[in-house]
Amino acid sequence: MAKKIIELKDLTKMYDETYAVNHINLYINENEFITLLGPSGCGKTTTLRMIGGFETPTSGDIVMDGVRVNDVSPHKRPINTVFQRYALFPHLNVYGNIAFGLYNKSMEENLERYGKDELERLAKEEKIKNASKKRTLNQEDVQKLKDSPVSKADLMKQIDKKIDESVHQVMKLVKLDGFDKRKVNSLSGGQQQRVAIARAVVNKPRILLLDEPLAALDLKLRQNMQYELKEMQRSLGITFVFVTHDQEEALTMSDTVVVMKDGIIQQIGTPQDIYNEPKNRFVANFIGESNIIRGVYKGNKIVEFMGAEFECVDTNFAPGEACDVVVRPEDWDIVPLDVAKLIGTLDASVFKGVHHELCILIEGREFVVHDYETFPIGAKVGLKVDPYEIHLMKVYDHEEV
Amino acid sequence: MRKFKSLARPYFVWMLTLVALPLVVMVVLSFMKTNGVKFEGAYVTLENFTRLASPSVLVGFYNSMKFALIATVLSFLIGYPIAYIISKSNIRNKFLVLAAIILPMWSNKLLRVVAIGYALSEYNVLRSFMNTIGIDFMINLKGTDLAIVIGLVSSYLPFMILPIYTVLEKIDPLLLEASKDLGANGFWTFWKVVFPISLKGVATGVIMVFLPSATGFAVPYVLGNGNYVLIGTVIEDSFKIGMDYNFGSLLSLILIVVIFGALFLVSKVDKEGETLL
Repeated sequence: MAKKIIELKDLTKMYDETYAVNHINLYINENEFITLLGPSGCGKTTTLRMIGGFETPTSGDIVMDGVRVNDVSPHKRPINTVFQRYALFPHLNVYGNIAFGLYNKSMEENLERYGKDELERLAKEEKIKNASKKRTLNQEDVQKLKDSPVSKADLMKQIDKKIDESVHQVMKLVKLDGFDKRKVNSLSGGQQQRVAIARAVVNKPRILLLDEPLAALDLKLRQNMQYELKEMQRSLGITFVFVTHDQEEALTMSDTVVVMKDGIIQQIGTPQDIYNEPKNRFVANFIGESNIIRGVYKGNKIVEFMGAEFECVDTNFAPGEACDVVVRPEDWDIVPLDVAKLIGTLDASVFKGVHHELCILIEGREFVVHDYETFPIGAKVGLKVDPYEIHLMKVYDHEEV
Repeated sequence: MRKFKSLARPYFVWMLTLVALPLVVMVVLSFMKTNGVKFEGAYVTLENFTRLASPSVLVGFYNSMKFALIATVLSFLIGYPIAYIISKSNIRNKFLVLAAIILPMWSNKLLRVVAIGYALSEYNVLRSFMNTIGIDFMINLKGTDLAIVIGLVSSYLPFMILPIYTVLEKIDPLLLEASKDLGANGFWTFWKVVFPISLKGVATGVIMVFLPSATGFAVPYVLGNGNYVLIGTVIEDSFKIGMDYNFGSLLSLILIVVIFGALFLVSKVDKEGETLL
């Protein structure tokens, strides 16, 4: 059973009179890769900033490990952020940027992090080593050095060494070894990005917040970083809260996707859930391409739309109830006309590499269909769809068709 | 861009005739003994250099550097907090506050210095006011070190505030958030992020205050009752009273060298050359 690390209870943020985040409830488990997904202005970044401590909620609570942290200032939260525009310190080099957080830690924190006993042992070892350089030590001298207390300065020296180790470790992790002395302004976008990530993860935060960190990178780099981030999350065991407007990014990386719109959570689920079982028209449209058709549930796993009856797998509708039918473009099958449920004419065809994107007109409505083959424009095309690939959604009054 | 290049030509001509040429003349004059600018009976000599060690020159250099240094440090200590507070404040119109700082600079500098001189002299407004309400109050600063420092700081403070303010204003607020995010509290964020970044503005401010303080002679002359020997006054006297163009030229050149040395030091601090220079 996964352990909750942070919980948002009825969280609300208002700017003037408008809701940026509107009474959302959400919990995040330890070790989870969760993505807040939505169009710009949906409140995803505001939510992230509230978790990070940069915005104070108007109402509601943020609870971390059972403790309310609404008013805890950012520097006291075990949370680090990778900012959208990276926000690297221009006056420091790569090393300085990454070590920044570690140098900010108090001596006690560092003692705890690296283990006081271990540090003392290392300090004593070094003392003995230095002493033996000057003269040969007998057993007694060594024992004396071992028993003598370790001074604060010696401990600090060991901490600095450990910090240095940590920084280089994380530089290796983000593939920036050897970049110590480079000015951050002389780095490429992708490298700056890595510094920003390294600077955050080196602190071993409980939660890492990422605010559209890949938005400024080009496609290839972005895809690479997606896998690297996912891999990093797995190996470091840190909870990632990722904000993006890119649905592909969200589906690729997340354990859980939270779809938001106008400050309201539309759906929470695994990428598979979100893609295959969208809860409403907005989610269906936002996540991937969809054909959404208004239909009527006939009862007994039969749904009627476009003048034809289809078998489906949904049962939670009353006979005669109106519903929205979602069929993904790749789920349509093109079949000979005599076995087709629907027949339309091909209006346009675009080659997309793996498949052709066909635009098929049926009774004046456009359907997007992905298929490996294409046909002459204007040809009659027959369509069929398997029952399990038809997804029905409840109709909400406020949604327009 | 090419067609605009020719627009810069008058500027080059201007610089050539009014900066480069006089410099050459000064270099030539420093190695000669002439009668004013007349070259009759002139001869080449190193005689001018031997006079550099004379007491008036040494005292002048010492005084100039001393006052310039004190004025610069004080301007920094006063100007930095002011610039910081303005940049941090939520005042709707920061420009108005800045304008209030700049506005006095629009009046003639000499007039301002003379006015300060009156305010610091034996008979000042404060004294007459205090006397009318029956308190005997007497302060006479004119002619002291303090008066000169007050004059220099009040004259050049805006030049310290403006560049620092500009740099502070340009610091991305996201950097402050990042610093807090990485565990630095308010003071530490200032000390580790804001201040190092603002050093470029400080460097500019230091130059803008130090150079005129070190080379000018009007302020110390008026507020020091003419009792102070400064390098500026020594040079002025060489030209005006002694008609000694050769020695005056040499001193001016040395001052230029010193100033370039200072600029070089500053450019070491500001490695990317992002100051307003």
